[in-house]
Amino acid sequence: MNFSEAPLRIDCSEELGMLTDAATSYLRDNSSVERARELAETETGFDSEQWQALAEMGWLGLATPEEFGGSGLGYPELAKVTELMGRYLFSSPFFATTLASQALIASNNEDAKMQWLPEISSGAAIATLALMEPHNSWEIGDVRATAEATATGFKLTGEKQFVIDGQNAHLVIASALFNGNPALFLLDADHLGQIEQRAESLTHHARRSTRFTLDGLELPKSAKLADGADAQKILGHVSSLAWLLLAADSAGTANGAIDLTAEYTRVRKQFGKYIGSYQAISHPLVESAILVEDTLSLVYHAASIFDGSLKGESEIAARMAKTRSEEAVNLAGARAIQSHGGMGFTWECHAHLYFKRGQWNSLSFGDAIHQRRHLADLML
Amino acid sequence: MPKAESAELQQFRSEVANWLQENRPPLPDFPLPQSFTEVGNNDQFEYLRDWQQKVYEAGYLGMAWPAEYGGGGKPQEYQDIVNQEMVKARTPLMVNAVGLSWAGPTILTHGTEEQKKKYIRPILSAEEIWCQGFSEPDHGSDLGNVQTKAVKDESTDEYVLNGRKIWTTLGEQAKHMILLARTNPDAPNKYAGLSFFLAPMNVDGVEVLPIKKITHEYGFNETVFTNARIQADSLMGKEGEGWFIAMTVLTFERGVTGGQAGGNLMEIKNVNDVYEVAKGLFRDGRPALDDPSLRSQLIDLFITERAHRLHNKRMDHAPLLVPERAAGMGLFNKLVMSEDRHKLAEFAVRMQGNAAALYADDTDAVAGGLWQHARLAAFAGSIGGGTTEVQRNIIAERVLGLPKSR
Ligand SMILES: Cc1cc2nc3c(=O)[nH]c(=O)nc-3n(C[C@H](O)[C@H](O)[C@H](O)COP(=O)(O)OP(=O)(O)OC[C@H]3O[C@@H](n4cnc5c(N)ncnc54)[C@H](O)[C@@H]3O)c2cc1C
Repeated sequence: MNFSEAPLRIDCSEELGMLTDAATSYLRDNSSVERARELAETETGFDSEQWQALAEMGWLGLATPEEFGGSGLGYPELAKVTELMGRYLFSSPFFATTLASQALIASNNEDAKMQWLPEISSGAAIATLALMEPHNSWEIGDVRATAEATATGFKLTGEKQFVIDGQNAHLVIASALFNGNPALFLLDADHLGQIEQRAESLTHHARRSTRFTLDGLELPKSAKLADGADAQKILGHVSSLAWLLLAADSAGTANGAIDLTAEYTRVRKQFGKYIGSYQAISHPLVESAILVEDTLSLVYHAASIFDGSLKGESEIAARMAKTRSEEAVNLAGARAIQSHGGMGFTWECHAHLYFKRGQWNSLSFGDAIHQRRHLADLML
Repeated sequence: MPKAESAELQQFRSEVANWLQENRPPLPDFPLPQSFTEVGNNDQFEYLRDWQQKVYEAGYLGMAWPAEYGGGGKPQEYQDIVNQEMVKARTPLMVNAVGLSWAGPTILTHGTEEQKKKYIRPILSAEEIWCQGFSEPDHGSDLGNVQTKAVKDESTDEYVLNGRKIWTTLGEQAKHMILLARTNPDAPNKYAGLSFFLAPMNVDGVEVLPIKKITHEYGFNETVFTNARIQADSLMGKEGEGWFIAMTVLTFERGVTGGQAGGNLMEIKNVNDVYEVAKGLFRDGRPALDDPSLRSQLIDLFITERAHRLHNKRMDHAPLLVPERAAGMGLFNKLVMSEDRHKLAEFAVRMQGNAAALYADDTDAVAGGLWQHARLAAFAGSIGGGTTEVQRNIIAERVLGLPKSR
């Protein structure tokens, strides 16, 4: 395969144009940095009225088929909303819920879809995935938790970590080995009532996630979302969508950091000159912008061709976007702090909010080192 | 959805592809330059000039330029297709680059009817080669400060030129120069005293002195003017408009806007070319591509290449652009392309291990030493046409809205 000459495309629907305008004005008006800071201090980390507003705008089922109460749009639209959420530091369980609904959509389990997707789209149910475990592996399907068949269903054992918005969720879709292969289980409010979730303390303090043990949890037969090849397919689908969306969020976050930095360097003077006139300040900002532009091109290409499959162009494109987004947001975030001098080191300065959000995005679902290794195996 | 190519354009595309296959000249027994800035001897020059002439005569150059001046009078899409097919088929480059890509479009923008009639056709046919006289020994990045003097002699209706231009690419072959010179040393500011000339090279008092480059080749020159007399109608625009016209030249030169005649100006090597070479290499007794660090670097190059190939496609869709930066996206082109060439060549050399020490003329050199040469030649891109640093200044100021650095 000659990757230098592979045909490439970027699609942009009319709906995407309208959505961009609507999302920009909603997020600009409703997610000021001050609001993001307030939410970061709350227990849930989000505003339930805003959550309802997202439902009304159709964002909670943006890429969910209309028959399940969704808006029936595509991945470029999801990426755009996510990018803008990053730009305005919007906090909510949107990412977790979107991934969980995509897990349902990618499954063949019609009962589960009928039960959950309309509730998610309407804002009634917040959902998330429990894939990560304390053994610190980003490999898809590297699961140690297990599910054993019982007379009435399954009995689970194992540990889960980084369950995004676990404390807010009405539905958790957890992975566990069943007959030696990864399977996925639906944990509803009843089941969640039986386990004790510990809120994790994160560097990115605006995020919410939990750690818990599954030991002893008993589930009915109907709780199995998928196993075998079906579960593999779902895991590939949600993982690659996560790369894509995290890359989009990071591109937006990096843009927020660039704007913040540019603004400060236009007003702060040292040695009688605006600091933005010093190239040691301005040139790295230009480099950040270049990396963000790279990321955006990769994101919207990946979104245009996304099909959730592994081993092909869809996987390559999403991993590429994720890789470049880490470089973009890391540089933009770090330059935001550094370019503010002593002020940048304070909690009060907004710079660290962008830096931390970017770092969280980079670490979730595989960092650039991990992605490049996989890309090398796929491409070389 | 991307606009699908019409049946007519598809048909045209395959016509072009066929024509290129059938008409491309056989490879010569001397190495060809990879960029027009690398034309180092007459054999290379003549080979490339003949090829450009053939392409023009087939109607594949200047397709979107007005027919009355020698262009094709067709929509730009046609020329775009030709350009793409040339890159794909890797046909030799268009040697009259300065004429095709900056002098020509500038004449079409600011020139008189007479100037257009006189200059455009021979630019396309490569009969008249152009060079650019902007930089001077003492003023390069600070172009607005150039000091070459043009003094009007009213008695003979001529301008008298004195001064030195430098780094004049294709200066030895050129018949004309786009020249930025100072007509009014007492103007209120350094820019206002400048004027723009379409100056002949073959007049008394113009001396072209070749300069040897880091690649061991020739290709650019110092051009010395000693009481050189040129006709007054060589002036383009009015006296004092030189800076304004020079800025037009730079937007064409840096690919900020379209309007160029077309054709490929450099042979573009891609990451896959490097990958193909890498597959055959050994380092420390093992295949080079077993090395995790090299693998990771190669992947980064593929990512960068893909991102930059995608930019043009994303530019078609306003919602996918960052609103504040959308208008300035074109300003990134020059910087990004020249830096990409550096990264690619640097990797291609580094991956070779000790063999990288062999230069282009050593029979043992990997891939004929092409990449060792490219590693050096890459600096032509990041220095010529406005340095990387100056490009960053421009982006900082015009795209990010930062305070001026000067
Ligand atoms: C291969 C090649 C072909 C060329 N062909 C032509 C041609 O045909 N016609 C022509 O007129 N010119 C040509 N040039 C000249 C080219 O445009 C100049 O070399 C270039 O603009 C830089 O000017 P300089 O060489 O005087 O370097 P300088 O301006 O002296 O720069 C020296 C260093 O200082 C940096 N620097 C300068 N100013 C700033 C600033 N404000 N901020 C930060 N850094 C700064 C530069 O980036 C550079 O690193 C060519 C150059 C090359 C390499």
